[in-house]
Amino acid sequence: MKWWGKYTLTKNRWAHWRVGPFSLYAQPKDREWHVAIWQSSDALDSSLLLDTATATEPDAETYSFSRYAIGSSETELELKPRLGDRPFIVSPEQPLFLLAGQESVLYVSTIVWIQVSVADGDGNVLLDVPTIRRSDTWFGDNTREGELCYSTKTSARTELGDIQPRPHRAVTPVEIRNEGAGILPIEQLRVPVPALSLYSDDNDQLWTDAVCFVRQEGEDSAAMTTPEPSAHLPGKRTLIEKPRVPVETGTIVKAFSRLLS
Amino acid sequence: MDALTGLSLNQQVLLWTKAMLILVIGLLLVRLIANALYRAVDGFMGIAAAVTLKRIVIYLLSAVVVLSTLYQLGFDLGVLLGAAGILSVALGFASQTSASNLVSGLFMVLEKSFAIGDIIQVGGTTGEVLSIDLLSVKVRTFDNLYVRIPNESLIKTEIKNLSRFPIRRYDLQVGVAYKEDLKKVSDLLIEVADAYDYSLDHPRPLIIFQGFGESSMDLQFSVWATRENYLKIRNELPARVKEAFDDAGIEIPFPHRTLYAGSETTPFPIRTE
Repeated sequence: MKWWGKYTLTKNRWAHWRVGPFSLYAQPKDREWHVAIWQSSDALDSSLLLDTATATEPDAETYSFSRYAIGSSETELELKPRLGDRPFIVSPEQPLFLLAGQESVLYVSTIVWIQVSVADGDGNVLLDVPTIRRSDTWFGDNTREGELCYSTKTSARTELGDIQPRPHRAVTPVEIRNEGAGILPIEQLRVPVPALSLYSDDNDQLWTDAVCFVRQEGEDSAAMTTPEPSAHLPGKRTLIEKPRVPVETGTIVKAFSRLLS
Repeated sequence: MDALTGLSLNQQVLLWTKAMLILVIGLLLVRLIANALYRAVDGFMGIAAAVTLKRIVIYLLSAVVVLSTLYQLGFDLGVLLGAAGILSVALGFASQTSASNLVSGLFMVLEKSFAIGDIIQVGGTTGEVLSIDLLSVKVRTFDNLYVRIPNESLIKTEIKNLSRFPIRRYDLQVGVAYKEDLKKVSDLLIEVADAYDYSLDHPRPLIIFQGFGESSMDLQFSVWATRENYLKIRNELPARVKEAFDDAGIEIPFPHRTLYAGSETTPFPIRTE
């Protein structure tokens, strides 16, 4: 079920959305909005609830409340999924190795952000938050030079049919080619989500552009390219959001920082 | 001033007007040139170096303008230069420290050990760099005090730049009782770090055995965080460690002293009143 889109709410009445571990209440009032959010720590939560006129109220002990003053008395709200604002370092839950001269496609998922905005024509954004709090991690050759990323674990499925649909996660097909002579241990993958587009398929599952990493012989960095959006993605796709930060193709990106050391 | 004698009043007024125009326009031009130079170099030299260069240019060119004005008024610059020579010898002796500060400041700026806005620690002073001036560096401490540190002392002192790199490691010294299982303690500490959102997953947390202390087995528990979250992790992580230890029944011992008289002793007699 699709949770994003425009919703017309009732003034002075709470609306409630539950998207996986993320719970959102919103209430339009005269020239202001009341919003309450809560994020559980269960990354595997697949709850999905949409109730634009709920009888429940957010628990004051658990939820974080905010008020937004606005010039209009608009009651239409728009929810939109977005990809993260930093790259994700994805680690397979079990050790994974790619043999020399082989290639493989892994399906990894990362959490999405939810952007909540007032649909008043000005696109006033009330929130742009992740659906679950993620751990920070450092990606670089040393502690002086590198970048701050988010970290996550992945099952790294190789079959489309094995993917568990979750409303708060977007799946990225990662093609890896080992053109070197030795076995490639895949311990961490840097998935540049801010540089990817976000799509939905016919089942309202979220997808991103595919990425491809090629390890050449004797090199410890991989040239990242973004193949055609149709690569490794199922069926029909609908574009939801363009990349936050476009990256030129062919950019040398250190995708395999520690696994080749 | 010989040029002024023998002139009519009108001619003197004209001369003074001309001199004042040279002075005013000259000083304005000096400002324009200095500002243009600053805008041209601050992108690649940094703000501190650009400000220093701007001030040097202002002082030098202003001196040229003033000397031109005096020359226009008919002053004998030879006399002035002679006096300046004697004065500079005297000033040289008097300003050795200032000159040392000035040169030290230039070297520090070129070295780029720190910049305006960085947090530095010099001796017992820790704070934010407000400005890097010709003779000294101005620092604002975290309790909002204004500290002036001469450049000469900075160039020969160890300076810690706490904000140069984006991530920092926090080292927590923790001691556990001798009866505890070190492997269990280590695993628990790693769990605490992994469960804490503000500690980085990589670089991985580190546990270093420090030694068998007098009353405890001493460990160093090192966790990485972003520079911005360092204070947060410093305050919250020890509390989480304590809570985890309490839940697991791991003792952080008080200092112990065992009295040993050389043989097994009988119980001490105690009398209460």
